[in-house]
Amino acid sequence: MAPVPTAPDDPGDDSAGLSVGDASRRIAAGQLSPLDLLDACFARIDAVDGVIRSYLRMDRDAARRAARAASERAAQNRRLGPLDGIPFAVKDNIYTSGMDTTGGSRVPQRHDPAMQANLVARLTAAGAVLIGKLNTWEYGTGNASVSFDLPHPPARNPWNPAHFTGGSSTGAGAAVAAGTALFAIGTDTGGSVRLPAAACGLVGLKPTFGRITRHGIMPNCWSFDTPGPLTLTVEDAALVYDALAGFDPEDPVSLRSPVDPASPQINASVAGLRVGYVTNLEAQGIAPTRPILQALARAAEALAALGVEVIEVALPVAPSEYRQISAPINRSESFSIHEYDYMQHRDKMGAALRSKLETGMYMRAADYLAALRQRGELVRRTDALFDGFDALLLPMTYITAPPITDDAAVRSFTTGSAGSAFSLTGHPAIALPAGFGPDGLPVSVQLAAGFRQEATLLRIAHSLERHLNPHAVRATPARILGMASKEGMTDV
Amino acid sequence: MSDHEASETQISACVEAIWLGCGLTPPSGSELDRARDTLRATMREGRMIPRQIEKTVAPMYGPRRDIET
Repeated sequence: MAPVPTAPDDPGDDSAGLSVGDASRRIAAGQLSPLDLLDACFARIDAVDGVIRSYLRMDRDAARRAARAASERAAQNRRLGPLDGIPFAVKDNIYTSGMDTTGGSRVPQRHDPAMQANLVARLTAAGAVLIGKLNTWEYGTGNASVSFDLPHPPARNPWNPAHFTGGSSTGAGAAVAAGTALFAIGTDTGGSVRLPAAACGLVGLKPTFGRITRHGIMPNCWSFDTPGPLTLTVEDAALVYDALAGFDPEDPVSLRSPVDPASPQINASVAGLRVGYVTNLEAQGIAPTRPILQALARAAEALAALGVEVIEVALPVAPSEYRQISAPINRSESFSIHEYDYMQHRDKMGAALRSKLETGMYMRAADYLAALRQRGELVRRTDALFDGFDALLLPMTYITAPPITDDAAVRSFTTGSAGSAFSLTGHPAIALPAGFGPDGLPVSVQLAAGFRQEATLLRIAHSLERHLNPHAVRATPARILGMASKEGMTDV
Repeated sequence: MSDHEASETQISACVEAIWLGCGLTPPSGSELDRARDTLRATMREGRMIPRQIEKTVAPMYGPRRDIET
C-alpha cells in the first residue's frame, strides 16, 4: 500500500489541538479543566483569527460562565456526557439567543432575537460551551464565488491562508482546522458542510435529511437544508451526531423514526460489509485530479484489507450532474425565502447572493416543478444502489482548495464537486480527510450510506480514517502565521 | 423562438417586463447587460431539465415519508 501523506506539522502542545474525544477523556480523568480548554481556544483565536477570520462575533463572558459550570461538574464527577465542557461554535445562520444572527449580511434581520435554534439548545444542554458565531457566505448560500464585498472579510484556509476554505460554512471549516473551536455546526444544502471539511482537512457529516432539527436555522432551500457537524475526527462526528439526532416536533420535516446511536458502534468490525466504488466520475470533461484519485484508490485498498467487499458501481448520473436538478430547486426556493429582502434590501447584499437570488427570480415555475419531478426519479435510482451496498465511496471535491482569489477555480471547486448528489437525494454522506496533496493542502474522500444508516456510515468512516488519516491534527498557530507571512499577507 | 434566437433587445425587454412585473425599477446600463446574461442562462438551465412524460409522476416536495418507510 502507498504511504499515507501526513500533516505537514506537529499537532502543537496546547489543548485546543485535541480532538473532542481526547479532550473529553482528559476532562473525565481530571487532567484538563473545561476552563483551561476554553482559554486554549481563546489563545488560538487571539493568535490567528486576524488571519483566518473564522468568527464574526463571540461572547467570551457567557462562554466562561458555561465553562466554569462544566469545570465544577467535572470536579464533582457529575458530567452531563462526553460533550460537557467542550467549546464549539455555530455558523451565523443558526439563531442564538443573546448573540446576534446576521447570516453574514448587512441586510437587517427580522427574527425574534430571543430565538435559540433547538440544535444549539441540545448541545448546551449536553454541557457544550458555545463560543460564538462563525463566518459564512451571505445567508449561507451564494453563487459559488467568494464575496469580498460583505461586511466581514472572508474566512481563510488554516493550512494556507491564501487559499479557499470551501463554502458556505467557511468559518466552521477554518475554526475547527485551526482549533479556535473544537467542533462546529454548519449547514449543508449542496455540500456546505462537506466542502469546507474537504478543503480544511476535516470530517464533515451531512446526516439524512430530517435527522437533525432545522428549527431556528435561517432557511436557504427547504428541500435540501441539513445541519451537520465539522470535526477533527470521525469519533468526534459520532459524539456530536448522537447529541443532536432525533425527532423535533418544531421542525416539520423532522424524522420520527428512532435514532441508532453511532458512537457505541464505531469500533465494530467492518468485515463483510459491501462498499460500492463509484466509477462514473467524469462529467463535461472534468475528472478528479490525480491526488484525489490516488486517495480513492488508497481508500478502496484499505477497505478491502479490512475485509470489506469493494465493488465498482455507477451512479445513475455522474455525481456533479445531480446539480443540474438541484440547482434550479435551490435557486427557486432561496428566492421565495428571501424575496422580501431582495425587494427591499438588495443594495445591501453582496454580489454573490444578489446574483443567486436574481436567478431564482427568473426561474420558471414549470422548470422548478420539472426539477422536483426528476428529483423523485433520481432519489429512487440512487437509493436502489443501497439495496446492494452498505456505503458508496466517491470523491468529495475534484481538486484541493484553490487560491481564494482565483474565482474560476473557486467556482470549479464548488460546482464540480460530488456534494450535491446526496443533498438532492437526502442520503447521509461524510467527507473524510485522506492526507495532504503535493500542494500541502488537504485531500478528501466521501462516503454515503442508505437513509438513516449514519451508524454504519460512521463505522466505515472510522475504520477508514485509521488508514487515511491516522494522526489527525489541527493547523498550529505557528504554521498559520508562517504560511500567511510566506504568502505575503500583509494585513495580518 | 429560443433565447438563443432572441435578440439583445428582446431579452432586454423581457428583463424589464419581469422587473416591472415584480414592482421593481428595471436595471440599466451594465446592470441590464448582466441581468440579460442571467436571464438567458436561467432559461437555458431550465430547458436542460429533463421532462417527465408520465403524467402521474408528482414533484418530490416537503416532508420525506420515503425516508422513513
